[in-house]
Amino acid sequence: MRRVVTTLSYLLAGVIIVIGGLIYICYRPLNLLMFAWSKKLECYEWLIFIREMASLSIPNWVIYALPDGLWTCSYIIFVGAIWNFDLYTCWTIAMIIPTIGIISELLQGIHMVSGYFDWYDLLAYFLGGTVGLSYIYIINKYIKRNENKI
Amino acid sequence: MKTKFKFRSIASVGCVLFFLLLAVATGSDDKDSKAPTKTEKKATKPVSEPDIEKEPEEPQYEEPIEIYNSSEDENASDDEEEVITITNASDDDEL
Repeated sequence: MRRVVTTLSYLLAGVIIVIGGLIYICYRPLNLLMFAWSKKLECYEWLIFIREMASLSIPNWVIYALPDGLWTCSYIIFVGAIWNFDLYTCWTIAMIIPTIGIISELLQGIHMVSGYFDWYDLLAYFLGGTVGLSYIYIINKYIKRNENKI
Repeated sequence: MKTKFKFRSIASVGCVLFFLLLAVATGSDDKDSKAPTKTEKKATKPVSEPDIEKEPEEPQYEEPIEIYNSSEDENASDDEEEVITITNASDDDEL
């Protein structure tokens, strides 16, 4: 049971990363580092091909804030799956990326880091972290209940 | 038990590094261009007409000259007066 849930959690986290990555590939400008790196890795044409297929008009918060929240949630799910969904053990590691994200966003607000402060980014980090931690907590409860039944 | 803990620690560090790499990869390559790529609210300069095309308003150096057409006084009523106003004689033909 635990193995199935762990495998599914890894898959879920991977899908979330891919969704966030597709939003970046399809809708973000081409001056991002990832596009420069893709040229060196000779997969730039593939990214442009995917980009040309994107035709939906989506709100700005989906383009600029949602991927950050998705990746935060995905990171926490990965860490939770690694540590058997034991929140007591892994919460410090799970909070590393959300904390870095929130601090960097606040530093952008006081111009100590290059970039622009955006409330939506802050909200995305917070919600992504909350959803991820809630997922670990719920899965842990679910696994323990099933193990007690056996 | 210790092996598991080691494996999990290494995997956690790898996870952190991967997501940090993701954050770096999705950063802008050109610092100056980051301003217009954020939300529309972050637009630094509103679109406006270039100042070159605007012509400064010419000050009126001459007061408008009002000429009453006296030849038509007999036909016109007392209330109606035809006033010809000349302002800023830019066109010599009119004068």
